[in-house]
Amino acid sequence: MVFSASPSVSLRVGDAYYYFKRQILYLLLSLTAMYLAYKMDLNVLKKWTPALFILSFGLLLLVLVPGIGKKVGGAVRWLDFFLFSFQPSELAKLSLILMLALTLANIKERILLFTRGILPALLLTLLVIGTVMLEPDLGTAAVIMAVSFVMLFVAGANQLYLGGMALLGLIAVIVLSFTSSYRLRRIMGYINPWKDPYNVGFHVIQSLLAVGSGGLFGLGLGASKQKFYYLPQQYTDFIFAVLCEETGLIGALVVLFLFFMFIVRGLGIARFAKDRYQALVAAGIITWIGMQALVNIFVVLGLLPTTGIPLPFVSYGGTSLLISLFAVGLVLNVSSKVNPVRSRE
Amino acid sequence: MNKVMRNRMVMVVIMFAVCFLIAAGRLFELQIVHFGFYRDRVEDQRQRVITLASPRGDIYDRNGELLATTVDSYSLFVIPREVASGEVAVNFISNQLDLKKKEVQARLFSNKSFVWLKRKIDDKTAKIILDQNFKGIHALKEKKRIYPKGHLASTVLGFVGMDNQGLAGIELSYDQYLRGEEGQLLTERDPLGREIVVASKKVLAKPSYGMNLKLTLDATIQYIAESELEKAIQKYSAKSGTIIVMNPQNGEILAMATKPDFDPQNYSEYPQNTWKTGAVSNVYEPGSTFKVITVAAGLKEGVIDDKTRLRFLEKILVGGKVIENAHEIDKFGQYITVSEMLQESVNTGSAQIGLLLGEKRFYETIDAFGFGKYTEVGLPGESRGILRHYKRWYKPDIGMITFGQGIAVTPLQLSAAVSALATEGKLMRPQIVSEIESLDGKFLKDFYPEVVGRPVSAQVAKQVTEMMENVVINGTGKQAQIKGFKVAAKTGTSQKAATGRVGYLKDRYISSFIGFAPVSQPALFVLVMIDDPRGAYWGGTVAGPVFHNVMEKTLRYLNIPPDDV
Repeated sequence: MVFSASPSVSLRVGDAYYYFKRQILYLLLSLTAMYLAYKMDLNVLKKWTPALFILSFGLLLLVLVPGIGKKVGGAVRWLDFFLFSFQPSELAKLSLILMLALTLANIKERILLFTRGILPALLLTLLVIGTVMLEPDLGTAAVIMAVSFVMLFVAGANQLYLGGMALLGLIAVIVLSFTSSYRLRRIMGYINPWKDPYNVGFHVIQSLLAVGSGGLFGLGLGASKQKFYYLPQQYTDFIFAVLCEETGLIGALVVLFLFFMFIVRGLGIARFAKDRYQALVAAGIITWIGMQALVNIFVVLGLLPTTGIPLPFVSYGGTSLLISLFAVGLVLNVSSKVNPVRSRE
Repeated sequence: MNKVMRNRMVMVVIMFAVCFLIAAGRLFELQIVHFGFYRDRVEDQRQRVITLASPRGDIYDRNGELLATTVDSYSLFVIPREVASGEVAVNFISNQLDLKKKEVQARLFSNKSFVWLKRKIDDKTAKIILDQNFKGIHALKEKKRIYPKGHLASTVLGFVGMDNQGLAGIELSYDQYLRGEEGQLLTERDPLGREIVVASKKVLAKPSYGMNLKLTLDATIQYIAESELEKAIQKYSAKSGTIIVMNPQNGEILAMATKPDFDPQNYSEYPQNTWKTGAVSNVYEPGSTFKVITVAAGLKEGVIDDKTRLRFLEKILVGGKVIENAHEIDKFGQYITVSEMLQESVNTGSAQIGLLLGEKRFYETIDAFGFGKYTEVGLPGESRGILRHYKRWYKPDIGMITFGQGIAVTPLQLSAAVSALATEGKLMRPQIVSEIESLDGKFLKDFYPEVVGRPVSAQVAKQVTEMMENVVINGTGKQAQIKGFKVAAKTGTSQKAATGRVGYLKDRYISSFIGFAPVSQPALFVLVMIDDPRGAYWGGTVAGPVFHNVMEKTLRYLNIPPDDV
């Protein structure tokens, strides 16, 4: 249960208390959601999953309607409500995971087949990915693809099909990267940030500077200097860079360790889940959160091109926190149903 | 739940483990292996060295009256790429700052990254403009030099440039003391150049305050001198004028005025030739005032005494040149005494003293009085005057120089030389600064009276003084008579030498008047020089009344006891 405490809001460093207060509010809301998810009947969830999926897919499409979606930094990813803006792709990720878990649990042994086996799951995934791509949000699409892939893998799909899918996905990513100038620029910035340190390479370089200058012990909490407008998105996508700068290698490793333990314990729950469905729900959720954390950290460390993936539990963002904590609640729910005898095997 | 699923889950964990290990390795690489590189880059990109202003020292007169000080002011600057507002801003700013609309327009929409809008304006105007919140217009606090007494003593004080560096006068010559040392502060900025809230600041060098100067000038006497000079220049439509008031006993300059002058705060609005310290840089032929030096030389060398009789001549031929008297004199006999020669300022008489002296001895005495040399008063642009070595004198010079032609002096040189006659023959170095004092008291320098030479004996000095007194009582210097005081003086009217060619300008004169009082215990020396007066030009007529007024008012102001008591 260490991981319910890992939404470490204290690590957040907003430059004004505005974000902090809002994040506290979201946290209270999210913790409530987590408790509800923990206590809810998973059969009810099963029953409502298709409806939830259709709703989230609808919202995803709504974002694309001109005049409704809120444009931030060249992409439309948000829906603006009165008090807060909502990022439907977050909900879509969870509902897709639930939907895939449902589908893949039902097909059982047919998992090894293609058309009668994994095809429906693949179609669902491609549908969501395609819509997200239109926003455009390649990073999220890639994460969704990876999560679906892991779920199929965990569900026991044929390795041949999986290999083919992986290859196709890779080709798709490469092609898409080169067909959009802004993606290409980000990739060039990734390959050689120092070539153009003030434009293409700026984000990557500033992130590396923040991380590198943290050293072993960091500058101390709150002492980040890169957060003053050198780092882009310093309270969301690049919050890990601030963390590295302020707490140094020690703090960064602690966070890596916590995330890794979250994955180990989460997948441990999935391994000993009551049934196939619950196992896939837990595995999907854990993979999703773990994958997002990894992608975010890799971007900050300059190991992946820049993309707008938040660091789960740490980045500022109401939707993200709410959905992830709700998902964690579901994992806890699965955990509570684990047969204690089996888990001791 | 089958075995495949469980195993595959373990494989997922392993995959994650590998990725996290990669991340950890990368962290180690960035934060430990290359830590130095990133730390240096980060510091380079954020750190800025700021110059900490060192407040410039103040300048006071001898009584502690503030003549120059430094106050806070504001300088407005533009970051053109931030500028959003158009016409409205241009109109408002051009009105407030009294700038042309075109200029404002050019500065606001410049393609430079930084442009000064206007520097060193008062805080009220700055606030009015900043309150409008025009985008891209910012203010910087700067130190501004101000001169509380306006024009007063401007030719002595000089002025400073935009960066508070001394450019003229005392401000220039004592710049190294007034300026202090600038400090340096290391601070951290964000990409827009704003200071970071948590910036670590490090003072690389502390600014040291500039030192204060106390001058020998007396603001009141300076005012008396300047207003009398102004009046005379206006009355005679003269080109310019200079007055020096000195204490002959110690060489302290009490007033030193040259008109026209300038406003040191707005010096650029005045012609450049008004900026210099005329009293030390202007060179002129002293004319008959120089006769006192001639007489002193003759007495010193023993070629004349109070009984010597000089032939009274209309003309005298010296070295092939005919020397005439400047004005008609009632003949009072075939022979005149030296005192009578001085009394009526007879050129042909003084020329005879020159001939009696010979070039070498005459030159040596002139040299001993400090002519042809810097007084080293400590003001910039000082001239040495023109005194040719006697071996290079032209034939008529031995006659001409006796009445101050063929030699050029600065007003201060002449003041110092004639003052020596008031101090038993001691030539004092003129002083303008009396104290240098740093705020922390660490550095303190006093200036003491300094005898630089003894051109003549006390006896000779006394004899010349008596003759100069006679000039005031009976001769050309009657204008200088002051009730209750014995005044020793000499007039001078010299034709202006033509610049760039040999000879003199017709109808262009310099009228001068020099002297000291009270004779029994000389406390004040005054020199008045009026350049190119119109309507009248005689030294006694033009400069005499000025000398009288300045001398009398100053004697009263300083409560100098009269001779008669």
